[in-house]
Amino acid sequence: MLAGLYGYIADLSEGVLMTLSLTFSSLLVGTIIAVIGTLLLTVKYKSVYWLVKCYLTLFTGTPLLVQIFLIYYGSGQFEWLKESRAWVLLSEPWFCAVLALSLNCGAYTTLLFHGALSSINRGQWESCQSLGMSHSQTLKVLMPYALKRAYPAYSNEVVLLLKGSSLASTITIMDIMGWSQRINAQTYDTLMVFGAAGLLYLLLNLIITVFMRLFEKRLLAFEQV
Amino acid sequence: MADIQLNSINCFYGASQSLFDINFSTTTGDTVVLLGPSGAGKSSLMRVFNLMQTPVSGDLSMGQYYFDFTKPPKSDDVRGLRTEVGMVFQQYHLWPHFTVLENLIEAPCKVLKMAKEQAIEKAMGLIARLRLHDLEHRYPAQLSGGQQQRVAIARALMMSPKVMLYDEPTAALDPQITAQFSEIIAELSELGITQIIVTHEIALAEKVASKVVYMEGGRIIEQGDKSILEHPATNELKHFLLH
Repeated sequence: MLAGLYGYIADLSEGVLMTLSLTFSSLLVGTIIAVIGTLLLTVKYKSVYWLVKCYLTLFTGTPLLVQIFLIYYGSGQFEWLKESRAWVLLSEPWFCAVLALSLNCGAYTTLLFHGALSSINRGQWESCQSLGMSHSQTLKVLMPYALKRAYPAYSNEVVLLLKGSSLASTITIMDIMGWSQRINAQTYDTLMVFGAAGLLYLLLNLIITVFMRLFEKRLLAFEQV
Repeated sequence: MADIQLNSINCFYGASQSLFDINFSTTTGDTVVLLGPSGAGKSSLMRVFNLMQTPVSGDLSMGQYYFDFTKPPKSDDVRGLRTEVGMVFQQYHLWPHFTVLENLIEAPCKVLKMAKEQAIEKAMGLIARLRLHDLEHRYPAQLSGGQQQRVAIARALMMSPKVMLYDEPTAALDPQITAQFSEIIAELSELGITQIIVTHEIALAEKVASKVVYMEGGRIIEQGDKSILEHPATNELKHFLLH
């Protein structure tokens, strides 16, 4: 039984690189979206604020699978889009998966970063003001503080993203889950194949979590008395 | 020069009025103590000096700056004024993710566009003057209350202010650290920095004040030189001094 499990893990490891590329590309783009989203939520223009709020509601209130399908299958229903240069990218499953994952991750991370920024003591904002700093200068000082404080919750977001990337297999991507489905269709050894997939995801998450916790210790060194 | 003059200042905090028809003036190098019980309006008045609180009427003149509060102040002028008025908060509000040195150089580099090397040199000078040796690479959480206060003073002094404001500076400090604070006030006074201190501690006022302003209910009840603490003219101040 164990030999079979090891064998499947070896087979599925072909999808590990794809899973990691989906996760870390989406994480990078999602984090950039989140930083921009957080900054936009602090501007005084109501229209910008509500635009960001709509994006957040849309991407946190609908299932990730629906978002992936809408981007991958939905975009093909617009003729003007198919004739545009963007179609080169939108016809690629990998790009569509990363786009959906990034927008989804960006929405949740925006909420996280904005929450951390909003919870900064009013006195910190006042100390910046009292030194003559403008709003943007104040943000340059306090945003890194907010990001550092949000980091422990952000590491959970990375784990969620890695697990969420498995949904990309539904649009033909051969990640760990994609390989699992292919091998399962060939062998019907469901318990062992998906058990092996689960173990691989677990292992990847453990490794990522250990690295994130080590980095967290360094990042939050300023809190240690 | 930082002569300060306030005329007919009225301030609201939400719907309730916090300051009533405040008239006040002081000359360069004065150490003014705003004295009074809790809720007297001392902190509200202090926050008018750097426009952290904007009055609804009256005017303020300080050095080159003049504000008529019947019109909204220009944000550039407000920021300009704040670079000349340092403030030390009761809770210090140091940036916790920055080391002591980073706390000191951040504002001069960002606001005054001072070169980093120059800012570091100035910061090291202040670190030595305020007896913070060997603490420049520590974070605020790793400092005692007294050390944090001196870092907060140093951070404000980095901007070369003409006026310094202190909100309840000795409220959380033991007597020894309070004595050190009094020494710093005396040193800065000799440099010609006008200092305004909010406190309800009479002993501190007696030690450092060149001028005392006694407030109650958002109004100035009595003001004058330090001698009013020995010979108060109003019943309110007499009553306060007895408790």
